[in-house]
Amino acid sequence: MISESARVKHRLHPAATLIAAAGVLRAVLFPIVVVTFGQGLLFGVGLTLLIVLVGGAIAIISWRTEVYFVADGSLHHQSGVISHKEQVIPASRISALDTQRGVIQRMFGVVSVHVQTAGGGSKAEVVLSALTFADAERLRLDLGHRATQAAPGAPPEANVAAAGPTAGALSDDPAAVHPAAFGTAAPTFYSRDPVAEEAPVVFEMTPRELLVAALTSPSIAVVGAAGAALASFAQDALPNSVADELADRATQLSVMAVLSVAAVVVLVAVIVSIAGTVLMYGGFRVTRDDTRLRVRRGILTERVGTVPLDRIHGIRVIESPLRQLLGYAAIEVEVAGYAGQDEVARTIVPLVPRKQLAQTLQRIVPGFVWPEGPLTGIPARAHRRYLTVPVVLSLIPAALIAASPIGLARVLAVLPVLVAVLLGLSAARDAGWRRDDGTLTLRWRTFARYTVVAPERRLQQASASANPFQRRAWLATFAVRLSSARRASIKHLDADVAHHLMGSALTHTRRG
Amino acid sequence: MTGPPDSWPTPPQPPTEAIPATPPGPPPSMPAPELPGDAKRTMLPERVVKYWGVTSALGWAMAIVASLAFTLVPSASTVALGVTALFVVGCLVDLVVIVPKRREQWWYAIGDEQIDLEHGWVVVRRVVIPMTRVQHVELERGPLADRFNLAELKIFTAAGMVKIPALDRQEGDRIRQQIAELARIADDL
Repeated sequence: MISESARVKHRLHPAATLIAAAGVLRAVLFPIVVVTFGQGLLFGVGLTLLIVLVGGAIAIISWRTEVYFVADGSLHHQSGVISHKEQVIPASRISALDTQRGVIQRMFGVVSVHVQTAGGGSKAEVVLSALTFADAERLRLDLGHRATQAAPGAPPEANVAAAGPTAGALSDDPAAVHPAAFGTAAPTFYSRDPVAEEAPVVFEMTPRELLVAALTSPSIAVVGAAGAALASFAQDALPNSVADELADRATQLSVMAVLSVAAVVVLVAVIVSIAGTVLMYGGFRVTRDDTRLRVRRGILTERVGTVPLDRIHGIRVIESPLRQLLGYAAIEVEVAGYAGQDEVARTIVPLVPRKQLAQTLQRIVPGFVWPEGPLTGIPARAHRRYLTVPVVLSLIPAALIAASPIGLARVLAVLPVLVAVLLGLSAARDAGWRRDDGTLTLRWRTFARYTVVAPERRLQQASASANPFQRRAWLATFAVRLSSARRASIKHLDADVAHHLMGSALTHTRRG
Repeated sequence: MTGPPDSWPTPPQPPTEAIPATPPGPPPSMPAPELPGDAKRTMLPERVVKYWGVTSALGWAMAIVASLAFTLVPSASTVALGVTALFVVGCLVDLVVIVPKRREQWWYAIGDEQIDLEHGWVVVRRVVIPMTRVQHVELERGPLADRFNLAELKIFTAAGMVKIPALDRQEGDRIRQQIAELARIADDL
């Protein structure tokens, strides 16, 4: 069955050497700068040259030793200069071949292919740093072909379907479509744009949304706060003599100076945040074919991630306070086996108006119905418990502010407590659950408001826990775990309700 | 410190004590579906107390020896003596109160459809795992656990691992088999 051509060992595109060398250079850039400052420019330049030479030589040798090939339905990857390493990954275990194009890849018209496996951690099992589009496409086809021929771990139906005359063709039965079945990809999968052009675009971010996302991203708040704190610290930290002198010279001017410094800091923070968000999420586009989503994002480095539709075991909607006020939400997917993946990889919608949430979800993940009805809240006796922890925690900053030497600033001590009370009240109001026809919805708030919607038959674990205070009030914290290894939980449900949910939500598992 | 003598009791039958399954508090306001733990709960074998006792005594012994060594340092001897005394008290409290309590707070129930278990002293946590979601089961025993004829059962799902810390070995083998058989009918994730 295995054609001889498939056994040919392939090398990466020579651009891989440059990519490796650039990686080395990036890693040692900071030490070089430090050394240059210490030892003088000449030494620094010499060292850089030496590192470039040695790094380049190593990169070329390792390029010569690195090969990959597909044989016996597995991807083989050999690498290593001193110690040789051979990785063998069965096609059935490969959950996605994601692509990424950095600046160097773009210059040479190649892509780096990240081989993702279900059990793997945050990093891809194998990274082929430079393949031509044609090579990447052939790899995809080779692996897909093998996967449908004989996938050891595939469900029996898949093998039956594959044994038939239409092996490799897409079956209507979703159980027969193994995540690694790449055979359905069109022959010219990679054009200049590695996203399948023929697949319908199900979500695209508008420039306006990109801007809002940048301005409301959590990082902007952090950077802004840090900048403001830094500015005020700088003001305090100025030696008294300097401050006095400044005051003597021109009181107006020094206030203006401080203000303008603060303004510059905030401006820089805003620009950095916007630039970061635009680089990360610019050109965000989700396309969908029959079995998977392709999520394309990024301006300088373009990343294309794959999410197999049958591995989406839940949807998580995140509304940070700021975005909630403006009526926006972000959507992440709970993907089986993405345990170590970061938030960005799970995000399928960085920002969408709350009003369009249901219809956007419907378009991206067909068959996923956003629950429209009201949620069942927590019992009235539990409401005050949501206030306890935030208020107690807020007493720390409040005490710090109250201890401040400036009399007027002490009034601000009520601020953290006020925020805590507001947070607690809205957390109590937001907490709730809902079950409709095999779908469980949980909503809660920590700082942002989270809503998780998951088919009950996909739940991996449910639990009810109670501390002594909760036990006395007959309350419990209900939590479920999803196959993405993330959890969703509601605090202070009635213990009977938690018990009921634990039993009934998990009895659906038999069906399907 | 030597291990326990070989003559320590190893009962042939796994001890399965039934404990009352009705939780305290008001009657359920809605009919709750039956979970395995609502019908019959199994506690960990009694030997667990001794086993845990030996493991934590070993840890305490090391701490006590270390702090005793510090009493030889002249400038720190009184402090070290105090610390040693603290450790001894901690060890006694641990062995007499905490370890037996730990066993009392543990139960498990393996049904056809779910695995149901509860543990914890301050925070009591009950966990239910659908049988169809179990990916694999591991039975593990260290040299010390082996002496007590005990084993640790680890149950893996796509969302992580849950363990029953000490089971009679035969019982553990039986449960492992049972779960493996029941979980075999599982579909994909």
